[in-house]
Amino acid sequence: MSLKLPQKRYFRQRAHANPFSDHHLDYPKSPAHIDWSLHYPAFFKSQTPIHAEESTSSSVQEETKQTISISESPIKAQRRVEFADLGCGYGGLLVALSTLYPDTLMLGNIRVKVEEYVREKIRALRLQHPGQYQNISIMRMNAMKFLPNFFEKGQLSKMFFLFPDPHFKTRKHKARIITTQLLAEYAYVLRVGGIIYTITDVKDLHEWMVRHLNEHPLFQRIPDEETNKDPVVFHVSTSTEEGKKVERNNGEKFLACYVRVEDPYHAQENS
Amino acid sequence: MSLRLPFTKLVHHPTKNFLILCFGGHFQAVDTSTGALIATTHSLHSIKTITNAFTIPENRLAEPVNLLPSPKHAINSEEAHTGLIRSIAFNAQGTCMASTDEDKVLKVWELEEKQWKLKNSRSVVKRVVSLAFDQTDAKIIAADKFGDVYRSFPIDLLENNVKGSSQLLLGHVSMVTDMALTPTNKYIITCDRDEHIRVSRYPNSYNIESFCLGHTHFVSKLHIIPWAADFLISGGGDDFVALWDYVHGTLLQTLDIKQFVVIPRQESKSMTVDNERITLDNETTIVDEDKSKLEEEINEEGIAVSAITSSAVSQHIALIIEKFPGIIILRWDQSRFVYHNTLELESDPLDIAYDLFGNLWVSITTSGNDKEKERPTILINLFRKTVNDHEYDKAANDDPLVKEINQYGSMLVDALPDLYPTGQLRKAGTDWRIQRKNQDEDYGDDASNLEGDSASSLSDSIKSKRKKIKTK
Repeated sequence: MSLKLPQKRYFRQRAHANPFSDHHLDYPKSPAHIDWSLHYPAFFKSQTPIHAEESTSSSVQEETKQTISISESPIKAQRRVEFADLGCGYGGLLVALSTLYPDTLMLGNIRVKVEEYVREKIRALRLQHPGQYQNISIMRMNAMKFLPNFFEKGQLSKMFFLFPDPHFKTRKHKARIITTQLLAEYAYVLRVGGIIYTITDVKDLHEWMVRHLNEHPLFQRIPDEETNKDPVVFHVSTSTEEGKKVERNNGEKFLACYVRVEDPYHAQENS
Repeated sequence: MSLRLPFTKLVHHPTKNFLILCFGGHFQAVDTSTGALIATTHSLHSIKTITNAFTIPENRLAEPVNLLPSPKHAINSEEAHTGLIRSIAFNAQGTCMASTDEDKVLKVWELEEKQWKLKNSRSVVKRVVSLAFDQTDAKIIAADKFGDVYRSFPIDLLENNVKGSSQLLLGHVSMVTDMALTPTNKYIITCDRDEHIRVSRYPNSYNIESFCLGHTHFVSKLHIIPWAADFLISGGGDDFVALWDYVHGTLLQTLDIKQFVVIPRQESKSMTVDNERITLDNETTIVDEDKSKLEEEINEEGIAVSAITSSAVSQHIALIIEKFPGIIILRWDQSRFVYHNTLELESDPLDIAYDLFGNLWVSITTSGNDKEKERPTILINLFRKTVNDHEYDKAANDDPLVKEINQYGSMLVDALPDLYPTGQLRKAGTDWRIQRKNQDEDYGDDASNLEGDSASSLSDSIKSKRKKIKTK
């Protein structure tokens, strides 16, 4: 078992995947069908293993090989994931936030192979720093299709969309991660008061995200003065591979944060 | 060879005794209390002066013209759809009917006492899979094949046409397969090919109330139970149908229906007359072969629920499974459904509808076999509700209620369209749990596919995509 951090060059991958294809990603029937204890063992110590054979026979190494911890039957989770980094890349944000919020469970997701890299990295960090980095994990998923399979209503308090695929062509705009249709799903998994963080170096995409979020009744822009006070924002901007790359190139970064608000709609309910 | 086109869709009027039967781009209506053909967009099929390109079998020419029924509402066939009618909906009062077809045309029909007529016709951007009327706003809601649901289409066409005036209600990153608006119009429920059932508030549909999760294959049909409107039944590619408390997204019950998909085999009858026995035995063998083929197919590929409906009279739920020649009847018992019985059919059902008396109307496939030409093809079966209890009596084919429609309904075509679209929603040819065996080889392919994945059409996905299976 190595203590060395994995090297990115062995995990290089095409940056994005087609969100519309059926793909081959397995996904749980519902959020209750995920065995989170495999992702955050330190937080689920007392939980009786549901899959005895899996938990007892497998070493740490084998455990981490498990791409997805789908359970056949529902499990009552003791702890829930609160931060989700959708399209987490190499996991830089998770690692940065892990020590900032040591008691909050965070999950990164990615559709492509770099998942293995992030998993290896988290494993190495956990071994290097006993007791730390227990609260972060990674899962391979197509969040545009299957988000409600992974998170329950109002479960999340923060969602991150850092340097998402710009999908430049007009024809491909519907594949962007922020659309009117998908915002309804993000609003569903995000609790009232929860925050969506978006950042990109593509101005056109930034304007697109701002426009769609502005138009959505369940989100409200957080003024810049306020976002600047948010300790997370610094990491959103600097901790990811993409963020660093933009910095190296002296590129511009566009940040927009939105809070999930109560539904302003009130039916003329007489009943 | 000319074939009778079967009815692909049956929809009953909400308050009056009208059953709408769709065939191709046309529809006809039957008065379900008398069996009289009351409306048609197409000349009745055995009229001698039929103005279509199809040849009429010789024996039909002999029919005396004066015996033909004359529907009260003869709608000009130029006003009919050109593409196959996919979806039909009535407004709450039953004064209007909307229909859409494969050619992306939406039509609104006015159903007045003295005249049924086309009110307006317009094109829509994408193919519509399901339609509903908003009760308060006189607007039409349409779910399209690409997963988006729009509300816009006002019953009365606006002066400056409708493009741009439609409002996006919600969207799935998947193919939406069915949609239902709750009776109070408080929620709009949509389901998709990726196992999801989504419950959104209405009209503030950007606010998702819940997801009903538990299906493991595509969901093809949703049905809100009329007498228990907080409950929803769903069915699709799974072996079961599911009962939901949809506001909370709670799965209340699953009922395995695949177990009822069994095809009874008749014993070979031995007859006294020798040559007759031979023919009979041969027929039985052929039929039995068909049956085992069907059973094999169902076992390998799973079932596909293609229609769910219910009758408030008997509190029965009827459902059909693609290619299975029977109707599965469930009854409502203490807020759960239980299996009641299976109504056997001679050929596959395409759609089902209850009338207001609790009688069940079934459209069945017409057979392409030569022997069928000898006798008039049956298009509609009727199962009458028995008077004192909730059982069914199959009406004879010359029963007055079905006689006219069977004799004069639909039209003749050269080739039948694809009558079995539901099963094609399944993602892979075989159940992914069966694929588990071949998983090792597949895994390598998957990894390379993932890398070079470019935009692929749905049909490509069906053909080439296989789901990666979890390692135990």
